[in-house]
Amino acid sequence: MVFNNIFFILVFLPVSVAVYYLVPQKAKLPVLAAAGICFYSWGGLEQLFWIGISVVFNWLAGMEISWFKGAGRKRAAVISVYSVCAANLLMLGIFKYASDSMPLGMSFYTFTVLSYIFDVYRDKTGPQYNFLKFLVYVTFFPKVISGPIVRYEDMEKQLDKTSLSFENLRIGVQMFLAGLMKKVLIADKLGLAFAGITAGDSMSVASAWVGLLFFSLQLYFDFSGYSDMAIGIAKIFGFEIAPNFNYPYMSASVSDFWRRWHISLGNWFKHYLYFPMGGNRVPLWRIIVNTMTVWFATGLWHGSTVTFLIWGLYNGGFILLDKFVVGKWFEKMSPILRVAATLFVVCIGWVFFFSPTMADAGLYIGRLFGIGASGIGDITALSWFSQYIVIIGIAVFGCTKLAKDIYENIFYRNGFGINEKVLTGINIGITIALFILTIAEIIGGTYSTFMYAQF
Amino acid sequence: MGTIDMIRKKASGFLPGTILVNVLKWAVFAVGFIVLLVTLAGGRVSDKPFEEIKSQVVEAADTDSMKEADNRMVKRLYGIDPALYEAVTLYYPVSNMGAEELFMVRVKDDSQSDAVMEAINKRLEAQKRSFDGYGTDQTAILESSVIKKSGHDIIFVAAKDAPDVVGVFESAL
Repeated sequence: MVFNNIFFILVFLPVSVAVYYLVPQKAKLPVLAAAGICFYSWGGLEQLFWIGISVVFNWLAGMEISWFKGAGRKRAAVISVYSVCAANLLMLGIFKYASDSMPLGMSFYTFTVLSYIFDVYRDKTGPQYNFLKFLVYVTFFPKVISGPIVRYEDMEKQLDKTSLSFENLRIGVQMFLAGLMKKVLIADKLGLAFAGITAGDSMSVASAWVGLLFFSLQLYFDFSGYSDMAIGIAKIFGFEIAPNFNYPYMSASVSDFWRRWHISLGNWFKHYLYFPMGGNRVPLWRIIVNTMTVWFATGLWHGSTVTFLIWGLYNGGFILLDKFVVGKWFEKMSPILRVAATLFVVCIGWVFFFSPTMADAGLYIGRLFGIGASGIGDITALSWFSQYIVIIGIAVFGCTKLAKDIYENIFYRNGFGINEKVLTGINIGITIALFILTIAEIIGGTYSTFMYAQF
Repeated sequence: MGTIDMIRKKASGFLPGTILVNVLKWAVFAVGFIVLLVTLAGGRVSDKPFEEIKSQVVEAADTDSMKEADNRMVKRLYGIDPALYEAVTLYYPVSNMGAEELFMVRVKDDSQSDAVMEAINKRLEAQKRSFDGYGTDQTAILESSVIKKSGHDIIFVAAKDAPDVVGVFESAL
């Protein structure tokens, strides 16, 4: 099941929320577990088998590692950690690189359980003896398919007692709706535009840039929309999940961008790969090796094709360039130029992300700069751009913090001094109108999965 | 004494159980691994051209009561945009009273499969609803329809000989 499915929005979510709020405290976890299993297995019961194997295997492993450490058998604990890590990655690797299909969200839940194993070994947390709590931690349905990847230590206490309140419910619903609108009203439309503009055999320079603009905005609104929905649903259920995006397209450097984009994955690699390798507290050559290793792994996490690996190394290379070569000089530039330069580098990187082969990526990048293009501009580029100009305008505005600030200033800080009741009425009215529009779009439009669901 | 130490102290009594846990843990993994290998041995992505598979399937199916749909009709009946997929073909009933249908999709990657399966199920439900109560033959055809996914290829056949057509599809892959 996906968040933009009518059944999920109108039946599954309201029913599970209602049941969750109505049952007594001790029944809340079983309800969450049942909801998670039901949500996850919607696409087929075989999916449940694989996540079940992962949950049981890692639950037992966590206890074993802790017991070894408690008994002073450090060597046995180390062997256990390495073997469990290898087993998890072997399964993920086979599915990802040798199989036609992969269980939904496997990259996400494998990294989730690995964070638990590492945290238990590093004494960041104790093992979870309660199987139900561990099951809920892994299969918590807002995050199981496409993250955010929540580290066990961040969720452990919340499994004991969630904080249900009207305020959390209100914020959660708002975040969910905002994410849904980002996905349905912006990302899906831009996705169709991107598919359309890149469908032909030839392409002008302008078409290539317009296509890249479509994809860059689509990817952000698709994935950040999903993350907003996930975080919003978690909040409705009384769980706090940290933001996964922080206005990345407003970043002033490539390093800054990757601190603001898919934050949970970046943090995972930082805590469990970069820091254990020595992080920044090692000689320069080691920092270079560590950084490139992390980015190679990030590329690998996304997929087995060379394009993802090159995309990872491309970003790692620019981060090193930023850190050691041009960073200080870059800081002296005007903020607008810095944001523009960052966008230029990041968006060119997306070409590797969406291209199926390196030849396709090379062809597209060539066209961006006039090599192999059918001309500088053409009617196709103008037609697509003008057709989508309103959505592009809204999307670009939505990439800035300004949109949120204006909204909060009007409706929550009452910046215009409007009567509070009138203001609340307008707010609710706009929300309902946009919700109806979104539902109409889902019903009348084409099906579209979330882009990150493939990982 | 910290919480983790307390848990460890409490758990130290279970230490002899670590062997059992270890065996159980690897047994669970082994089950998963064996099933994975068996799964991998079957259902690989077909490298046969879609057109080749389509022509074999269409030849095997009785398409007299159907006509081939254009992209707009695919969008209308199934709600999916063919441009987003590797290849899509649809044969739909000529008459409003027909229930025979043949729908084949090759997805670009597995993330698209759910959307296609969902679209097929939705179409099937809609067809069942429209014949519910009066179209006994049509309902029977729809009830015995077959949906099959193999690798990146998905087929939906609503016809009296649906299992045979799907058999041809499977051997054509």
